[in-house]
Amino acid sequence: MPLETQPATRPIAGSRKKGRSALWLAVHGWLGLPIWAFLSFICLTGSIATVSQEIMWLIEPATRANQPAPGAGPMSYDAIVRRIEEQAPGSWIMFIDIPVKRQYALEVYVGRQEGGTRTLYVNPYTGAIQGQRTAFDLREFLRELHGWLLIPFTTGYSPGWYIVSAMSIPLLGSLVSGLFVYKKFWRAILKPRLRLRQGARVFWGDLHRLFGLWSVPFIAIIGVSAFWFLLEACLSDSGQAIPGEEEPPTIERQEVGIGADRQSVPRIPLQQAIDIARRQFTVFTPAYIELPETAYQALTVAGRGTYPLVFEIAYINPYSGELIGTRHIASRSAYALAAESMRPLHTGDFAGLWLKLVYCFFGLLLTTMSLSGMLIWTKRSAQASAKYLKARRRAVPDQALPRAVE
Amino acid sequence: MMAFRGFRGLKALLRRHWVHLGALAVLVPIAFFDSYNRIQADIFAGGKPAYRSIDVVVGPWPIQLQEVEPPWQAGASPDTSFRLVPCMACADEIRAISVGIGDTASADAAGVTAEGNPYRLDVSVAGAGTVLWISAEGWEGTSYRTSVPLPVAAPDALHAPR
Repeated sequence: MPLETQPATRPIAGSRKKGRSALWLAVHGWLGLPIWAFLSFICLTGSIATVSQEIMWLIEPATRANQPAPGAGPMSYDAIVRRIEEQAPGSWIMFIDIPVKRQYALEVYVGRQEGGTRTLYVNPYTGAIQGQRTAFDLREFLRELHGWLLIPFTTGYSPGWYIVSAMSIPLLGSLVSGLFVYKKFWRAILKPRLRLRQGARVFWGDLHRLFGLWSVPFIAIIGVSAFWFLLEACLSDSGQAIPGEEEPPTIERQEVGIGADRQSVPRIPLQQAIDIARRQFTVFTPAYIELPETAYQALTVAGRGTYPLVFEIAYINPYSGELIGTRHIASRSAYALAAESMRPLHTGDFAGLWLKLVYCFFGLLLTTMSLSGMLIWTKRSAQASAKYLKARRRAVPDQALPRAVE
Repeated sequence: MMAFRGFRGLKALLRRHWVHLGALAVLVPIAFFDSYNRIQADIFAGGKPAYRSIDVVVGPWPIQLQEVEPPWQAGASPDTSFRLVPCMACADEIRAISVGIGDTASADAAGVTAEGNPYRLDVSVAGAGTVLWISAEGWEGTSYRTSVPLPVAAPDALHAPR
């Protein structure tokens, strides 16, 4: 940086504290400044992606779950499956996604006879197929834009994934260094200050500190979860297993159902499977039902229990109703629990609309912090250079041009 | 002379505004937008069209054996991937299809069960051999097996680097 643009803070002789503070400020600045625009872009896209489902609810009526009459109850999943088979004969139902909030339609993934899969939006009260996800889906687009800049996955994780998740390192560094710069930041929680009439530099400085103070836990959560995503990519691409990627157990040949064809083989109703799962866990709200991919695979019923970030899972023989296995929260190792918690912590989609709005709000705060940090620096530099030039003109009034370099 | 001044001007501009260069990262998703749409369209359509397709009969069921992409693409897994498309009427009668690569002597060896949409199953098999065998079971409990010489089933597999 040229001399004129260096900040005017220099350590006063004999004051170690001030010197250390200036060092932390330099660290904070150097971590944030070179990446401010990219970081703002990631935070902005993330903030929008967190409410992408809500945006879809607003712009796409098919994603809503309108009650046919006040007080109407939802249909059973078996009745819904029968209704889907009536409306789209020949579909192979693979997965039923049950949204956290009742305002959203079910999302049912089906395989088609002519190939390909479709995501159908199904009304949970009537079983009517209201629409389907299109080839270009806004929600997917926003998530992929934020997560990996649309760079495709080929042989391993996308390079975009690595680039974006690597930003967690300067983000966490900025958080830590920022707290060291901001002396006694806890006092400001009770006395927030935002000066509007003392110029842009002061305003952006106050805004940066105010937003930073409010966002400390959020930045920590986002930074740590994004850092986990970086680790996850490294582990997966080097061949290590990631917690949460277990396949459902298989069923012995002699226990697989027999019948004339796929439709006539006796299977337990889905409601019975949900009841079996419910009996295994103290608290259980169904979150998804994964139907077997082969005749030998178990039916998977997963739901939210006492710890809503990670699913409680039951594996059931679809022919006999026997419980083959479970994945309790309590049986997972601390590492698996932490690892599986990272994605929901990052996206905030485990508790409904209110949490998503909180995440969106803090995401926008974070976007503004990156911008305001840059503005502080440019305005401080502008002020410092204006001061320097003023001092030079006062010292040598007749010399209009700088000295030639020898 | 003009060019030299322009270059110095550019340097001064960069020196002053270097912190904003990160905004160029926005160009990355713009550059990949087209390929993103193509990939989404492929997924929506059920995967890429078959590269090669031959008809085999396993027991009473005609099944199309398709290769989806040549295995020698850089970064491709050493496994050989197939898509199995049973006839429309047969798909609901077939309980499972397994596939394996081996020799005629290893006819009883277990293979890999194809997964997914019963109308279009996917399977990846590894191994070296001269024969691709395909075994299909019906929901009523019957089982049938047939074998296809590997050069006929997957000629590209022979050329794939292993």
